[in-house]
Amino acid sequence: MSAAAEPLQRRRVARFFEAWPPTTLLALAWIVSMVVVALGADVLAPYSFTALDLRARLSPPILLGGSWAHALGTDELGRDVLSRLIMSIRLSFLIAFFGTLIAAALGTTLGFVAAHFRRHVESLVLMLIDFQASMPFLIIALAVLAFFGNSLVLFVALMGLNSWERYARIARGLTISANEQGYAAAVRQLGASNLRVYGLHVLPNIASTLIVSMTITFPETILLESGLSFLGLGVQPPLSSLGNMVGYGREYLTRAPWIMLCPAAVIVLSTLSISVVGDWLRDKLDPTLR
Amino acid sequence: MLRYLAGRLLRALLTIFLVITFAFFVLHASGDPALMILSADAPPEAVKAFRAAWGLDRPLWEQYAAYIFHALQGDLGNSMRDGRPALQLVLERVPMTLAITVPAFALKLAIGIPAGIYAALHRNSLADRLTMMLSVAGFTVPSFVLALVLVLVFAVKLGWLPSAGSDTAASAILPIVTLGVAGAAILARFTRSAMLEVLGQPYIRAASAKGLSWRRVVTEHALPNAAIPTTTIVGFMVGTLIAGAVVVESVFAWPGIGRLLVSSVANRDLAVVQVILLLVAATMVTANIIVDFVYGWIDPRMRSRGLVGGR
Amino acid sequence: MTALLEVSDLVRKYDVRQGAWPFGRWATLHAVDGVSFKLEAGRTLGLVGESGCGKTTTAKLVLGLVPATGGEVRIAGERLPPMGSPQWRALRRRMQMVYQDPLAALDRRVSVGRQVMEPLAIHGIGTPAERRERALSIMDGVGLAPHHFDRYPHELSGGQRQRIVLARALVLDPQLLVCDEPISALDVSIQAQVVNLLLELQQRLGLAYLFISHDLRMVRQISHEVAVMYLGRIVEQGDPDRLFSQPAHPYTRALVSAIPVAHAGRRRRMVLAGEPPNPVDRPAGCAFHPRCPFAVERCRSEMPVLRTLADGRRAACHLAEALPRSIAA
Repeated sequence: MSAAAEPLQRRRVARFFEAWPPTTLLALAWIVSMVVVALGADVLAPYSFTALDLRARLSPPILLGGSWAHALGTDELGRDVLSRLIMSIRLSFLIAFFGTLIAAALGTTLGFVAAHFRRHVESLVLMLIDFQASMPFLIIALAVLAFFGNSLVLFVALMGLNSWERYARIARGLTISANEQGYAAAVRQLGASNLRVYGLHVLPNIASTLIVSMTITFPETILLESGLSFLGLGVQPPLSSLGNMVGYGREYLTRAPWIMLCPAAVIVLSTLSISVVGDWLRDKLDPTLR
Repeated sequence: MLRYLAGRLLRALLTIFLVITFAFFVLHASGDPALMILSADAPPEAVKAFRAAWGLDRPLWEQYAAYIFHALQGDLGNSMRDGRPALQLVLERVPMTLAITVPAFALKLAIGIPAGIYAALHRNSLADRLTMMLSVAGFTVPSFVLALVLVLVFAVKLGWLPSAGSDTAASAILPIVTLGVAGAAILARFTRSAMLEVLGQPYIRAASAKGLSWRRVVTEHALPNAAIPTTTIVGFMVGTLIAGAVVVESVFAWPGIGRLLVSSVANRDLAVVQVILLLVAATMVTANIIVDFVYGWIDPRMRSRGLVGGR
Repeated sequence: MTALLEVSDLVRKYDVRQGAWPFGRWATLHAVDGVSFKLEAGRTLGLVGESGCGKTTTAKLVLGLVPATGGEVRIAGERLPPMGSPQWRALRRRMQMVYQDPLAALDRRVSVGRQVMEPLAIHGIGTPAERRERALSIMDGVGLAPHHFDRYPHELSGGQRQRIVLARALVLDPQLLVCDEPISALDVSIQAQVVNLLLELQQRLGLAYLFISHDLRMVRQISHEVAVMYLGRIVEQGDPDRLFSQPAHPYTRALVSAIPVAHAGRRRRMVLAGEPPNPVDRPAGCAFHPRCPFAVERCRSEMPVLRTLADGRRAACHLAEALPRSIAA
């Protein structure tokens, strides 16, 4: 009997890992821990991220023979890299999260508007989409940021402008087909208001596609934010993001590579994890999207 | 066809015009360059004289009209920093940028497309999985991280290559590799999925059922069809030849367009930023037009649609 | 007494650009070009024709889903208000639509019960408990069981889905149902069931149907009157039995002879040559003349009007009286 139970057990394990592949589980675990870090940054950081410890300047991390007092080492002012990393994770994730949210909301709304009004309004939205797609956003962001100066709010808003066109395209396409022959037309024919048609019917129907798109734009936003911050044009000191930590650590590349490598590893692992989870979600929710 | 071409050009010009207008108003709405260049505590007479000299005391629409008027005559203004024509300043940097982006582009094609095709033809093999893993890594690793890691390994630890600058030909190697690797990863992934899609089509099965050798099925049927979607992404890469190296140029202190842009932005040098935006837009738009025509050339369906469209 | 639905000289034009922006000339497409008919309460008007002849546009015009370019639609003597206005919304309680593809017309993320109750929620009728009760009783009336209430559309069969669409339409207690090819997407065995259900509902509830279909046999079975459309115009209209046994218009004749019959015998078939012309390039004279085997010179130059023939039916053909009527040889 136990001999029969064992293969059953094994089959159950196999089925579990088929539904939840190990890489996906690892990626999910990483994302969850990042979210926990971002939410609990104040509690988790061992030091204040601006606290100086001049006796322990450029102290290496444990793996390179450092002490437990500064697990990931310190920078040239003796600031604790772990604490700075935690605060940077919080800021970078915050910016990417709101940036993605703004892009999704703006893009979906414009997509609905284009699909609802058609004709000139639609042409205008399509022109904006073309314009957005034909200019590398980094360049536009550079111009806007430098000349508007940069507050955190403006920066987040700018991140939100990065990938709206992806959502606008999706929302427009799916809404047009729903409006032309499908459930949306049927509900409208029943006398439903626009709010009901779009809010209660179209949005839930396209939500899975939009969520999958978010897993694509979220890493893009992290990369854009860190790139701009790396160039010194994004998040400004004393605030710290993953990108400007790398940019700052670059000065000490020879003497203290950990200052740059720690945030770089977090960026790479985070974008990678979200991509992995995104692929998995796409297969689960929306096999038509590629 | 001629009409189609004219329509396409008209739209391209419209896009460029939009970019210029966007740049003009964003840049002028965002602060007083006089104060930024002269510093805030400059004497009021100096600020006034600076404004008058650059026409900043006139109404915005008048400045805009003057700008467009001069732009149409090829005069895109002077750099506020050193007074030289902005266009000349920018064009001087173009060869430097192309010196790294063009070899990088070749590298992308040379690695990305064969890797993608190979992975698709040997689906789920070890090579396929490895290619896919590397390609995911290729676009989740930001270019500045890759650049710094390469510097750390090849310049700092091994000492084989210079870490920055543009003094020797060897200086170009790391920037080219950084740009090429990321692009190759994206291209490999894209080529693979385009190939897989084509290989799943009924006409491929029909062709091999007819008794055509697999090699001929692939070279005569699969590759030309998979080339169509791949063209889009290659076209986009052509478009980024000018603007795609901003971060990499900064890391390696490479004196190209990208660094000029970052420093002009930091110095609030309006005219130079405008010229760069214009140049970038023009390259992207030109690349898009080229893609359209390449489409027509490789895809007979598109060609006939183009003709119908122009009738 | 005014008719429940009265359509007079209805026109719907579309401007279409032939060719890519910004070139290409603008052309006018007459989707519906001067259509008139009446429908009394409790009666059925069948609308037949090839795809692209303007049947579906007519249905949308009748419901006010598309604004008319010309002419008017009157519901119980009142002009149809513009789409989206409060009056238009209120009118939804009197007229409803049944769709060709029930799966597309239903929201696959909403349970059957909630979809049947939705019209009541939209129009603010009753309490949630009352809506539920009303929905269950309507579902029972169209042959759906209470356990279907919490299911989702994709879990049910094609016939059951069409019953959901019907239930959703009927829950507001309308007087007119516009049925756009309601059975053509269903299995043949299910089609008869749905048609019988429609007939039973008409008897029980006194519904009027505007029944659009290209299935002439179904139309003949269900309709009190039939109108045949060709390129946006009605070419023949009248009693279904007479119209199908002795068509006056050559186009009707061609449609009828295309019906497969069990004992074809020596029936002469009239085969239509070619596709219907592009509605943008409407032929001069009678629109049907390029495909008509009887066409004479007059057909090429003069457009025939719809006129009443001696036997009471209406036809738009110069040769209506001259042509042989009988289908059988």
